[in-house]
Amino acid sequence: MAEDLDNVLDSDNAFDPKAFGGHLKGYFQDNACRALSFFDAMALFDRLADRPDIAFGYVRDGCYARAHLMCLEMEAQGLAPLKAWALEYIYKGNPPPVTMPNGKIARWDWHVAPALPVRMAEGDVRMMVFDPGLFDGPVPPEEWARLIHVTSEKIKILPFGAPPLDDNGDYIPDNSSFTHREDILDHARATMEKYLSFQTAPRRTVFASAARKQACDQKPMSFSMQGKTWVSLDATATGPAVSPHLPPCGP
Amino acid sequence: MKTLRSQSRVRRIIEENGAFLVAFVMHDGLFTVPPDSPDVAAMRARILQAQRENAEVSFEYDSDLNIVGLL
Repeated sequence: MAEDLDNVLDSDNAFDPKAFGGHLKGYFQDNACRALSFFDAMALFDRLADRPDIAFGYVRDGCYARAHLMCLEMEAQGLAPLKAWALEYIYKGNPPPVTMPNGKIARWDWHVAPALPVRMAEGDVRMMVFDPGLFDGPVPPEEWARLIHVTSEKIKILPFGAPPLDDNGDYIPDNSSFTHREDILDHARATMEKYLSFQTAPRRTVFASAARKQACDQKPMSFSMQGKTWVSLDATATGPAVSPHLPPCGP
Repeated sequence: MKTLRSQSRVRRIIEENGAFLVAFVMHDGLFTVPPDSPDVAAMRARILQAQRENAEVSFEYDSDLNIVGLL
């Protein structure tokens, strides 16, 4: 497990959970009712994004396992993670193809990723989605939703461990397929182990996020446009955007 | 070709421009029975039957989520 984050539970980062909807009332308790500072959120994101046991380089399937393992690490850090859910019935027709950063097409029936409240550099607290298989930093739900062709109002943000209930069926891992929480963890690990074998490139390409650019601009010696396992794709450039003032991260 | 195996109930089936897409309960990705598969008719029939019976189906798939065989 990674070292503790600095200032995660800084009292300055207290926030009102009602700001994110009445359905979250009661979920954030005690010290967990704190937003992550922007730079701590970026540091956490980087640590998650480079986890070698999570197949972020293969995103055609397995988002449930990636989300579960990331939420567990967030929980271990004393945070109260949530999950952003995009469910199949939000589409008027069939789920549309989604173009991945590497240009390949994915087709999801639904999609899920962790979310956390983050106190942004501007001072406001925003819910941010952590999806390191697609982006190089936390993104607001509307940006995440846009990529998968839905509007942000259709995204459900629910506490970790509280699956969507008013839908067309089960959504793993929080469904009737598992009796114990340990079984969910075992399944998530096994899924990632399988999908690591489907990864073909040593570094995946991901979409650039506004948060990443902001972090690099404000703390250029702390953040880069690449990690051990990923490189940002700048939509305005022809190739991956690699920060010119930083050496590549370690192997 | 690297393949994996799974076992799941069928959530729903989407037939789209001749494509046969399968959503499984234990997966988020949509799987395909390739139209050029030699056993395409038999595979589709078995998956449809599993859906009707809410039964699990065991299958083998590749990294493009093509169902290459039923087990």
